[in-house]
Amino acid sequence: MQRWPQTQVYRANLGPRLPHTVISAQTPLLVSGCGDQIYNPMEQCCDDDTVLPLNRTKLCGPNCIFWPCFELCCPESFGPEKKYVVKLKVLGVNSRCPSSPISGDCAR
Amino acid sequence: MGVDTHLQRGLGDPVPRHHCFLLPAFLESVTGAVAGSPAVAAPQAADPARMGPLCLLLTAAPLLAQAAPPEASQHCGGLEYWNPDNRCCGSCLQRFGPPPCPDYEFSENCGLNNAGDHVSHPYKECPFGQCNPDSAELCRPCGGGATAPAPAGSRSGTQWRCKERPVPPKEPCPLKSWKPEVFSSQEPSPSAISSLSWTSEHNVTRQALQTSAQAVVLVLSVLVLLVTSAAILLLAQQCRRQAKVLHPCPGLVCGDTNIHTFLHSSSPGPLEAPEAGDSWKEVALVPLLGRVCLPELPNLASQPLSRLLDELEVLEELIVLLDPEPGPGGGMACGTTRHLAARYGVPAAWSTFVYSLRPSRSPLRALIEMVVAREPSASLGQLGTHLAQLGRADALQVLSKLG
Repeated sequence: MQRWPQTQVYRANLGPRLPHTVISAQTPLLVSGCGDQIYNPMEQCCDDDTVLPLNRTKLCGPNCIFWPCFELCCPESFGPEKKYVVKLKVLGVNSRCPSSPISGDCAR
Repeated sequence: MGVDTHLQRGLGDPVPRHHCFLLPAFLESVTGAVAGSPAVAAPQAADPARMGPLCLLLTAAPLLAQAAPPEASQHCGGLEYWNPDNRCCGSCLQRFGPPPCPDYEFSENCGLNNAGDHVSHPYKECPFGQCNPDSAELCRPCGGGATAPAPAGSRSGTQWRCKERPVPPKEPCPLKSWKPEVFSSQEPSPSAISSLSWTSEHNVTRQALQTSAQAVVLVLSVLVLLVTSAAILLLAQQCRRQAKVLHPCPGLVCGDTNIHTFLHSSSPGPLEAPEAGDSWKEVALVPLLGRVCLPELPNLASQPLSRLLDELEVLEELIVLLDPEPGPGGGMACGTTRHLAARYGVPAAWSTFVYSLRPSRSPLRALIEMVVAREPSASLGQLGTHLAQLGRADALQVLSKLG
């Protein structure tokens, strides 16, 4: 399943997490810092101090896909019911599972 | 085909001889281990021509033992996970924070496989006879014994350790029945007992001080309230006077929309003037004149944005109005949820992503939830201002139902 549309001129300056953003002197390209790397937030994001392409997907549980640039995989480990919930990252802050809005519910 | 199926077939079926040679490569693909890691290097040294069914079993057994659980990382210790992009071992504690609930500990590699997928939960309950009251990474014997040894973890060393990061704070334990930090077996310490009498006397004095301080605070609060009310009344009167004069809207982002569009447009669409009478005209007008106040929606301005998430009917109406984007035939190209998101400073990439979640997820609802989570003090008044600046008089009218 490919949810990521091939479009859009990204005018905004940011990826989901922005330690610092600067404007390149020679081009209008915006670059941001991620750990000790820099990245282009129009095409990449910073997740877990790692530069990822915006369309990167990972598994959240055995059969659920999530987008680490925009979503959090929240394994609900406690209690008898083990399940996974995908939540939307809250931009501009360090997103945490309990305080982030739900993006989707993964079957067990 | 699942991992288990692969493994069962590898052990149980009458496998041709050459499968004994292929098995390591297969396991590498299953576990994501790199060639040369302990799990896969040894079998590669064997001569495939000599390998029969017995060889298969002899080879597969230790391999499977090392590969159990099959998703465990072959690169890092048990309390670490493999970061496939940076190619380093990160600390589970620094990524997930301490176990939120007592008597839980980290799972092997905090549930991540070598591809970074979440294949199991990051925390698990302590084994029988072990406890973890202070949210350490691993459980230890309940009687207060030594810390349990790290799980077979440090198998490949830590040759590529990711950059150190601060440990996130501990999350609240979601288990309702648990009483954190209080354990029935704990007795009060002698120092705590001796301090009880002093504490009670101290409390009486402190209560008296608190009472007088509360009275002072109450008087001051009433004074501040009176002054604020007077100021708001004066400001509202001033806004009403200014509203009688028509000005072009300075904040509109969509073409030539201006205040006249709100009041006199005859074309259908979101910018059409609602038929709600003169009072509504003022509702549409006033936000355009200044961002300071919404005199016709006085309650709205001060109410939290989170209220909208509870008012499902209003939210649904706003979703119907704001989520649709122009189709191939054109149509309304501005003032959608995407533009509203930009007003809230949200990156276009994020908007594109949440639009891709349609129809199961409303972009507007996702936006409101995200803004509320990011900024709990966000108000309905701020939303009204954004809608006015986008020229969405129709959405403002719906929003005014909350006023």
